[in-house]
This record gives sequence, structure tokens and C-alpha cells, in this order.
Amino acid sequence: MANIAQIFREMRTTPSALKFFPVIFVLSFALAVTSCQKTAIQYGQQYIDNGITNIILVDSITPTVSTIYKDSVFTSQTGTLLVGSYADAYLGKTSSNAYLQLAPPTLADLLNNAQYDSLVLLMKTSGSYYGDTTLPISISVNQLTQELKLAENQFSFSNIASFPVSSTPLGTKSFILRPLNHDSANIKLSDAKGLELYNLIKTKSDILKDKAVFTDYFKGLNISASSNGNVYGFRDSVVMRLYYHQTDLALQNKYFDFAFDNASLQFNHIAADRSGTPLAGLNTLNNELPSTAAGNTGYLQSATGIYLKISFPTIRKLLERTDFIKIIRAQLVVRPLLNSFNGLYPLPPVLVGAQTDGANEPGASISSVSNGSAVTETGDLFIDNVYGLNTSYSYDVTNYLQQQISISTVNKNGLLLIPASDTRFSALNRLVIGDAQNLKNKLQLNLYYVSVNK
Amino acid sequence: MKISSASILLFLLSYNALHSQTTNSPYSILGIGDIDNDYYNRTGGMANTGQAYRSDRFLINNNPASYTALQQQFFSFELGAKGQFVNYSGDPLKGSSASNKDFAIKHLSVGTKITKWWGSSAGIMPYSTSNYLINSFQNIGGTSANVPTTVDGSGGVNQVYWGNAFQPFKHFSVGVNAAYLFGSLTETKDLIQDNLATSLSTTQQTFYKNFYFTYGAQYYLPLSKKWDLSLGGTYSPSATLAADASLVVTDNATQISSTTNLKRNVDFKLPNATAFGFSLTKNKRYTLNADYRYQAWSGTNILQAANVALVNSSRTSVGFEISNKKTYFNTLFETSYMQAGVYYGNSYLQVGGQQLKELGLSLGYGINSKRNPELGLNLGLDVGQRGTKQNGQIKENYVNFKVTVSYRSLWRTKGIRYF
Repeated sequence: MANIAQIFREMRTTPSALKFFPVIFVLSFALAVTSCQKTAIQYGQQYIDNGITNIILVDSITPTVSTIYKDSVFTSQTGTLLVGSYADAYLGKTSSNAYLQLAPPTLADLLNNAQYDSLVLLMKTSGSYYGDTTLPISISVNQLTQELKLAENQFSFSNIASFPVSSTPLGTKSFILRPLNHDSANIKLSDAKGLELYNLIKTKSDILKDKAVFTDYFKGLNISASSNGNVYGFRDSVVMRLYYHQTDLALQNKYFDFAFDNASLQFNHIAADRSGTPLAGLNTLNNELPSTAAGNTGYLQSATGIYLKISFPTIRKLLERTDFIKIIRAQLVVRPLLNSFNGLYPLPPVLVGAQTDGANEPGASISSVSNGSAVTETGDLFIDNVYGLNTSYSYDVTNYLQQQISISTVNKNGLLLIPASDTRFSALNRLVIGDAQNLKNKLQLNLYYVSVNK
Repeated sequence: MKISSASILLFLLSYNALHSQTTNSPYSILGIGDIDNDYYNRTGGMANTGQAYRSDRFLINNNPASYTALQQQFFSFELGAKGQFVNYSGDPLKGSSASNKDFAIKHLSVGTKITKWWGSSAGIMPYSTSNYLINSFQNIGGTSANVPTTVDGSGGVNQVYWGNAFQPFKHFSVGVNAAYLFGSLTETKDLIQDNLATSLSTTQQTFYKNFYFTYGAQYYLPLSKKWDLSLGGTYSPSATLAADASLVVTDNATQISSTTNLKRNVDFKLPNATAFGFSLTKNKRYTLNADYRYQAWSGTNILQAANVALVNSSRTSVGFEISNKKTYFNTLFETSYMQAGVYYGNSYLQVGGQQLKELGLSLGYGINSKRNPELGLNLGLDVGQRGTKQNGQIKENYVNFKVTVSYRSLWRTKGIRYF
């Protein structure tokens, strides 16, 4: 054995062979690190255990539908004068007239030869309409006999508010209006009233120098329709124009404008007669009609206080599934009843999903995240012009249901499908939908959840 | 203290490297991954044939009884690494073929002869490795829609072993290798559905652990002045790797579910395994080795996948070696050696009713430095294939490049006599 140790020492020429090891390690690691990434292969599918995590679509969580009755809704300061009446096949007879206030004109000196010509009310259609626009509308302009005034602690007028008007109209006129062309409706008013105002102008009466005094004198106007068949929206930029002429070097045709004033006091009085309809039994005490008691249908006409509520009372049934982890997507598809709408009775183009509870007041609208920012859900109305069967509103209710499923207390939460606040109380567009049991126009909740089988 | 600092470094590096593989091996999704047939030692160039092989310098972990052959007074280190290039082909790949390459340190071992009758070696090496990346589809429950998925698997079971060999009589040694198998397999499945704005990632990690013992014996004697013969065999009794799995599910990187001690844990049973072989040497220069290995996998584990089963595996290999030795101071010193081997096996996997067959050849070359007699380098090359293109199998053609570095040093403890 001595030999070996000796040989060993003899043969050793470097002080430490360990010098070699770093080189080898570096080499090994260089190779290890530079080895390439895994490339995926299209094989082995049959060996993959798909039993653990799945996405599962369920349509067994049935939303409920009910029609909510509100005895009044706020219809002031909407920017729209709603005028007309029509007979609704589902909701009975509905009519609307508008109240508004005018301001005195800016005074100017008149020449001695100035002469009154006429008094005209100038209105422009806003583009909104409901009903048969081929029928004429007969508009009547009446002067109020009482000033528009909010009661103490009242901040807006509701649809059931009304004020006394003079029994003799200042003017009436029948039109056939094309609202999409923004037709104007100009109505010649009483010359007696025109002259009365002209004399105030001419004499520069104190009545015209102060708004309050003028309002006390003139009160305001009510614009109504005596015909039946259609309702139009008019812009609130109404002007009562007094024409006169005078001759200086040449003939001058001139006018004074009594312009629309005090928008907060403008309101529409909207009345509905529900007798003979499924909603006839609704009143302040009995204010909710389940779809199951109304032929599996639900109704909406927010400007007359008819709200549509969709609730998800069985959402927490999902938690009873042992594999349930979370809702990843929930889409609500709302289908209007076939033939419950057409070009003359259009669907509400935009319906938000306003969150509500047992009080049934519309709260914040649901939204979904798109490209990182929250976007209010507006229903994405799709109109199936070919078969009509696929006409639907759809909502991403993912976030909403993710919140609702975590609420353990018994509640009456739901979504009010309702027009956005700009037209909520100033358009009569009606919606009739089927509920989840409705065979032809089924309300659907497509809910995807993550399932993990542990 | 050169030795200890080197060994710590080696250990850390190799332990990391054991996990840094990038090979995509489709069948490694099954069970605990691809079970490694390699020993990552000097027998690599002979198709890992070495049940009866004995070496006075190299650590032959094929059979724990071989450690009594080690030369006394030395302490040996070995580091084995493997690079692999694999090409996959076959109908399941839908006309395309895929290639992968990989290089990793696989084996680290130390060994010494403690007394005249007792040799010992310990090390760490993989028992199985799992590595795959599979594109697939998954049905959305309640619909006919399919969502693309990616399944990424990695990990493996490693073994830390300690083998001891004893020579109770002349020409006969017995050995026992106590291996502690441990490791985890991680499978991450990504399920991405843009329409649903969801990106689900399910990670299941399964830890396995248990002891696995291998008993070995070798009988060796000179037949004549020219001829030496050695016979060897090993036996490993079945053992069960206890599984402990956890599951984490995230959606858009937010954790939505986490479970430990999954009910779906499936323990993995290791088979009864036997191997035997002989080694015939002429003039201390030419050695012929032959081995037969058999593992009773049938019925040990039920794989969840249809069309695939575990079946008894066998492997036959033959290796030949020419050793060049020189005499220094009346002692033979091996300067270099050349090796060749062939192997043929029926693997433990049956796919499409047909057992996967594996065959290949190995070449090896080793050089022991004369200038630095502590160092030895072994280079090996395997060219082989597994599976066929029939029966829905995937054919794997591979080339392995293997490096084993050995280092030995005098065992300078006072308990050992030098002179």
C-alpha cells in the first residue's frame, strides 16, 4: 500500500487538482442554462386529468321577474315636454301634458308707427315619439291660472302634479309631425293676448321689468293634446314670439321673445288608466306584481311609474355545490315579447340595470370592466329584424351576482331595468318581457362558475 | 479541507441541477414520471451494464455489493451529468414532430472503503423525472364549447442513498442500498378563456416519500491466470411512496381556491425489482458484461388515463470494455478505457395495448489523468429509441451525452494506515 501513496505524490504536478473543478462546474452550468425552453406538443390530451378545475355553465339559477308600481315619479326638469296620448295594448290609456314658465322679453324702444302682428308659440320636436305618427296631433296651448310653485320641502314636481288652466285655449293646432326630422310645431296664439302683451311692451310696463312680477301676471303655459294616438317629445327651448312691424326708412319686421324660463319648474303631467289591464290591481299598497301572476310577463314604463324588477333569489343555491368556487361570468338575457314593439312603439333603446332593494328605488347602475375601465351596462339592445325571436337586451351581471352571492341575509335585492336617467321619466317607450318560465320569450341567466373538485 | 468545501459546492450545485430540466417527455405525465434507468457512473458507456462489475476506483452504484472492491485509503467523489436531445414523432403528434434538448447534473456520489471488508458510498440522483408541456382543450361544462388549455408538468422523485458493502468471505460480497425517495411532481394547468375574461391556473403539487431498499450480492474469482469472472445480482422489495398533494387554483393571478391533503392523493407503489448479471474479464483488460433487469410493475398502480397501463418491465444489456493500463512502480494504473454496449427493453408502460419497447447502443471513453491522478473523466453517448409509431404510440429517438467526472483523494484520517 505504500506504493500507491508514493505514486500518488510523485504524479501530482499541480498543487491542487481542485483548480479543475470550477472549470467543470462553469461548463456544466453554462450548458444547463443555455438549454432551451420547453416546447409544447399536441399530445397527451388523453392523459390530462380534466376532472379538477372546470368552467361550468348553469342555467338553473332562475331569476324572478316582477312589475313594480310607483304612485308617482318625478317628471320635472327633464328637458323634454311630453305631449300627447295613446291607448296602450298592455298598459291602458296614457296621456301627458306639459307645464312651463316663460320669461319677459328684453325691452326695446318702439317707433310710433309700430304695429302688432301676431303671437306664436314656437316648439321643436326632440325626436322622441311613441305611437302612430301618421295620425295628426291636435295641440292646445292654455294659459295657467296659477303660478307653478313647489310646496315647502318639495324639490321637484311629479307626474301626478297639476295646476289649474284657463278653460279657453290661447291657441290650438293640428299637425302631422315627423319627429325624426325634428319638425317644428308653431302654434298661433290668441291676438287678444298678443295685443295685451304688445301694449305692455309698448308702454314698457313694470310687469315686464321683473321676472317675478311677470310670472305673477302671466303664470305660465300648459301644452296638451286633445287628439289620441301618439305622444311627442318637444325640446324645452320653447319660445312665445310676439311679431310686430314698424317703418323707419324701410319696413322692419321685428319680434319680442318670451323665452322658456326656470327649467326646474317645467314638468310633465303623465296619467295612466290601467283599468282592464293586468296591472289594474296595482296600487300603493299592492305595489308588486310577480310575473307568475301576470301570464309570465313583466312590464316597464318608467315615466308612468311602472318598473321592471329582476331578482336572483336562488343565487346562493350555487354555494350548496361542493365544487363551486366562484362566479366568473354571468350574463342576463332579457327578451321582449314578440309583437310587443314595432317601429311606432319602439323599445327603450337603452336600459340600465339599476341596483335596488325592497324599496324598489333605482340606485347605482351595474357596470362591467372593459379595457380596464368600468362601463355602465346599457343592455346592448339587439333587434332581430328577420325573425324577431332573438331580439334581446343583455347584461353582464358578473360583478353584481358576485356581490349578491356573498349576502347571507334574506333580502329583496334586484335589478331595475330602467331607461338611463336622461330619458327615464320623459319617454313612454314600453317594455313587456317574458320571465324564465315564458316559453317563447324566455328570460335567461347564463352563469359560468369555476368548479374545483378537490 | 479541500474535500469538504468541494463536496458542499458539488452538492448544492447538483441538487439545484436535478430540478432544472427542460425536456418535454410526453409519457412523463403518467405516474411519477419517467423512471430513470441510468446510473450515471462509469457503466454509462456500457449501456449501464454492471450488476457484476467491480471497480477499485469508481463508484458502481448498480450493485451495492460492489463497494468492497474500492481501493482502501481513498475517498472518491463522482459527478454525473447528462445532456439529451429527443425527437418525438408519431400519429398522435398530428403529423408534426417535436424536439427537445436538455442538460443537467444528475448524480453526485461519494464513497470510500472504510475497512478491508467494508465499503460504503452515498449519493443523490433522480429516481424519476416528470417534464411535459401539452396543449389541449377542455370542454366548458354545460356547453359544446372547448377552451384551450396548457398543461405543464415538472418535478420528479429523487433518491438520497447510502449503500454499504461487506465482504464476509473471500470472493463474495453482499450489500444493501438504503434509498430515501422524495420529491414532488407539479402540474400546472392553464385554462384561458378570453370571452369569459378568465385565466384559470390550477397547480397540483404532489409530494412523495418513502424508503426503498436494494439488496445486492457479488461473487467474483479468477478462473485462471488470464480470466476473471464475477456474478452479481440485486433485489428491491416493493415499497409504497406516500403521496401528499395540495391544490391551488388562481384566476387572473388571484388565488381562489387552496386545498392541502387532497382526497385525490394517490400513493405510488414501487415494484419488486430484480437484476442479475455477469462480468468476464480477460487479462485485466477486456471485460464483457451482461445484465438482465426485471421490475414487476404490473398491478402496482392504476393510471388514470385510458389506453395506458403499467406492465412488467425487463431490460437486457451487454457491455464491453477495453482498459489500457500502465505499470508504475509495480502497480497497474489505468490510463484510459473504451466502452460499448447495447440494450433492449420492454418498458413499464403499455400504450395502445402494446408495451413500449426501448433499444439503443452506448459508447464510452474514459481517461484518467496521469498529471492529476486524482481526476478521471468518463464520456458516454447513447443513441436509442423508445416506442413505435404504431398503436397510437409516440416514437422517441434520442441521443444522450453523458459526462462523469471522478475525483479521489487520500483519506487522511489517523484511523487509516498509509505506510
